[in-house]
Amino acid sequence: MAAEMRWLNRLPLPNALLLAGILLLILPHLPHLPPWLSVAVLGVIAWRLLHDIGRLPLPNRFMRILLVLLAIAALLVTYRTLVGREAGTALLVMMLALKLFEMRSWRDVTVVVFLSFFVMVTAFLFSQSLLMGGYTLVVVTLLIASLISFQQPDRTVAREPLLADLRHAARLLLPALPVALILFLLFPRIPGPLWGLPDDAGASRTGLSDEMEPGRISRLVDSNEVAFRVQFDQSRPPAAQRYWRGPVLWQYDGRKWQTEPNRIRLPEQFDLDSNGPALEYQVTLEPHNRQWLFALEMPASVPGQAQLNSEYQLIARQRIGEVFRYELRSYPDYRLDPHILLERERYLALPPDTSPRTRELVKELAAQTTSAAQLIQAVLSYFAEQPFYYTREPPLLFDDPVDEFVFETQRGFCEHYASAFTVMIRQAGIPARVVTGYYGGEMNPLADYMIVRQSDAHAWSEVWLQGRGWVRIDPTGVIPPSRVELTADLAQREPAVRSRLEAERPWWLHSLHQAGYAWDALNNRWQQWVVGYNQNRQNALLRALGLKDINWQKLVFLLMMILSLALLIIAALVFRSAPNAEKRVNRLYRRFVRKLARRGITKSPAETPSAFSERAIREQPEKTERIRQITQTYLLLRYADLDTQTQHRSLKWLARAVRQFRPE
Amino acid sequence: MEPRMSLASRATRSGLFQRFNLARFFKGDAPSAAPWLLNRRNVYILPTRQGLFFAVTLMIILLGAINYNNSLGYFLTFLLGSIAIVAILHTYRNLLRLEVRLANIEPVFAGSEATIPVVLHNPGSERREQVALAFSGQEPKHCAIEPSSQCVMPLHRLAGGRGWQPVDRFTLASTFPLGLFRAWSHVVPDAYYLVYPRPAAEARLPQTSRYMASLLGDQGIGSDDFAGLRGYRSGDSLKHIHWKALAREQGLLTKQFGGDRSERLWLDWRMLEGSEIEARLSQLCRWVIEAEQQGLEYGLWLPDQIIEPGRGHAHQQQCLQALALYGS
Repeated sequence: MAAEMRWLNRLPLPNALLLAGILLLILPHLPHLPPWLSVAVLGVIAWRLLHDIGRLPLPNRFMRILLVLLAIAALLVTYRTLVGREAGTALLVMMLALKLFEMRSWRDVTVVVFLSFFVMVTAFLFSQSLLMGGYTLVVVTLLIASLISFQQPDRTVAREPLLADLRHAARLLLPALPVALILFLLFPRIPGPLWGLPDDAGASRTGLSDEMEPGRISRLVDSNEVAFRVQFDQSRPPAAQRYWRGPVLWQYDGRKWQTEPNRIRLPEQFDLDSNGPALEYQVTLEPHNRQWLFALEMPASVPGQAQLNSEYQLIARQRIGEVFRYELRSYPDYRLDPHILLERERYLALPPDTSPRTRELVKELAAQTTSAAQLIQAVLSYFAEQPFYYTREPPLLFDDPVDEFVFETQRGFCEHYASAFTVMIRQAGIPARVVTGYYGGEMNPLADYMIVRQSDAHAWSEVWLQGRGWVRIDPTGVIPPSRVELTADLAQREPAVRSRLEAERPWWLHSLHQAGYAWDALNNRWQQWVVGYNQNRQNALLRALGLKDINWQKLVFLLMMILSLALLIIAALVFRSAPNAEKRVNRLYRRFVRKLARRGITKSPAETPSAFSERAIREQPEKTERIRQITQTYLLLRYADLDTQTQHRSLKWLARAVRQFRPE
Repeated sequence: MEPRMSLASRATRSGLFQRFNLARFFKGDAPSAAPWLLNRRNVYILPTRQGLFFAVTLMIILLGAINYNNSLGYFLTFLLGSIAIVAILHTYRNLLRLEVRLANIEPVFAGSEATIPVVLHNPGSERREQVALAFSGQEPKHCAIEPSSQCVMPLHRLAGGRGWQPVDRFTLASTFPLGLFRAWSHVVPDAYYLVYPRPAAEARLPQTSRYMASLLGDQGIGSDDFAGLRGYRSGDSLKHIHWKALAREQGLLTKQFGGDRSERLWLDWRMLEGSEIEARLSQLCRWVIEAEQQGLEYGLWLPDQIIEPGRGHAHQQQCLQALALYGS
């Protein structure tokens, strides 16, 4: 192809567009690229830019090969592999950057642009947010505009063609959007994966883990990301009952709490007594790449594709790699396993000689009390009365975290309290376990759903009492507000603290908060309809359209029909002949005459435009200037031999002037 | 230029068969008269190599999106695919409804390069970007055509043999805006240009022509011997004005020269006895050019045509045309 022979070394304009597109493309990747690669990529872009304005030569062939080898070696050292999400993305970014050194022909440009599309799609493995979606549209527009720019290599550098290329790109993009939407909604969805997902497919996703040790949860608190959203059918639980049950941990090794999923039964029968009304709700869970689901304590139904284990933890059949929506019924007032506790030893086990000082303390407290319930109360009172503080930045703990926390630092986060409390209760011979999950959730006042964020992550304890079953004890809750650091997020969940904070908030922060809710409502829609769009949603949509039990052949047929119709409409728009300039001029002038006619100044067919304008000016002296200008421009456009640009500008002016013309 | 040859008659086939004839796809229609209007019947479009490469790129992205169940990946694939489809329409429109004409083609000598000025008129309201124009096997030239205006693109090609030569098929093409698709249309003009014989290398004029000199005697329209003065007539050469008489205020007088008897030159086919036909024509062609350059009065004698002596551009053209068309 002849076009490939055109050399593109000295094309600052298209290159600048392309480089701008690539720069924007790389930006969302910078946080997860290794720092050396980020710096290198930005450096290459700058180098290419300097080259294009004639300041710097490009590296020669030998240098380029050396750079490729160096970069691959550096990637191998950083990741020890070239596949997988992180390493694969880094490799693609690196290839794209180095290809910029070698971009000399039209073919190289297409390689660069197509590589950019690959890099763009890898960004979606890290984030599929609404912001990312909008941002992608901008980058796609820039890349398409640069392709258009490279198609016209003979032009000189100017601002005008750059805008023209962007406009042209928009003219391709806008009609493409509805077509893409049709394809998105109706293209048959194949439930993936087609081949195995790399192990790190969801590695950097935030969320609870199945282990708890000091520091694990407080790290989550920094994240304002949404964990899940809940829509309640009728009533909502009061704030104090918003405990969202996640992983239940029972194995303690002296430092860490864990579970062993293989040792947990999946019983047929559950021992759950419920009093009071049930709450029905739907949860839209953000992907966290783990199998567990969250349920308001205590769930009494099991959604499809999930199971309930003997610890009342909901487990999905697959890792949650995409947005997952499920329906549940819960009873806030419950008795769990009230009659018999199986595997009792498991909930009493402690490593030998662990936390000797608390053991002494528990022994003392037990001597003063007569029942398990009293002992629990005594332990809680100990936390409440001794100078324990609730803080997000607790001191580090070393040898025996429970002893050190209880007797030395006395500053901790929910995991410190839950861990220490559970250990102490077990030391007293009462079965106990740690439950992790989320506590809280705020209603979006602009839409009817509750948002639970990663910062709501929490840990509490469950103790088993004869006749009452598993009872939820939240040792963190006994710390009086005076000993809670106000910046801590848990503090904000306490209604009293919250209303005080809200009263102190300035108006702009308040509106910012409101805007935040609107944004989240939008995000919720986005999550449900775009990110979480899958086969189920597609079927639901088709059912809503009145198409029941549709198979994929019918779906493809329907897709083709709608697509053809859309393309016909677009083709009609593209090929329609726009009215030529002369017709437009006449139409505008007739409109001007009609406006005057409404004020009783009618133009007789024999009258020339100039004579008519003089007469109109006599009737409308305040509008002298406008009437004269419009008539003159009209006459110029009709009879003078104008160049294209002047004609275009005059026509635009006339259209505006006539539209704004208001005779008295 | 009037074609003198009978043209290939348009094949009489059923319309549908003709519409889907592969020959039209590769070679274009039968020759037809100007103007050529590019319409839906004669503009074709196919993906370029980059376009196929793009399709493969999209397939890979789609597979990735399916594997990772990535909604934005799906959407990006569909968006880029839709942009490509809209680009098909834009590429096609870039050629559609263009009017193609040929401006006057100057006659050329065999062996040199003919210039074919192609006039592209854009009657629509959209600018046509990067329209490529070329004879087959040539590097295309590009031009943009503003709305309601036209541009003239001179195409060059080897002139070919003596006589009327058909303007061969040329192709208009466009890959604008994305370069992923190429729309093209073959124009097969029913137009011809004249090719004179290749001028021979030997430039010396023949000396033996005087025996054919006119019997009418000296008429004072030669250039050698002074034959008297006469009153100035508009059109007389400045060289022949009697300046000294003007200085003596005797008015404008023109000096008359005789000698046309001796310098009236007959370029005669028969003088080149023994050579091939084409060689004879080449030599006559060279003589015509030389004689015209020297300002001589010359006539041309051919077996099938005799052109009376004369001079000037029109006369030269007449002679060269007679040589070009000898025997046809």
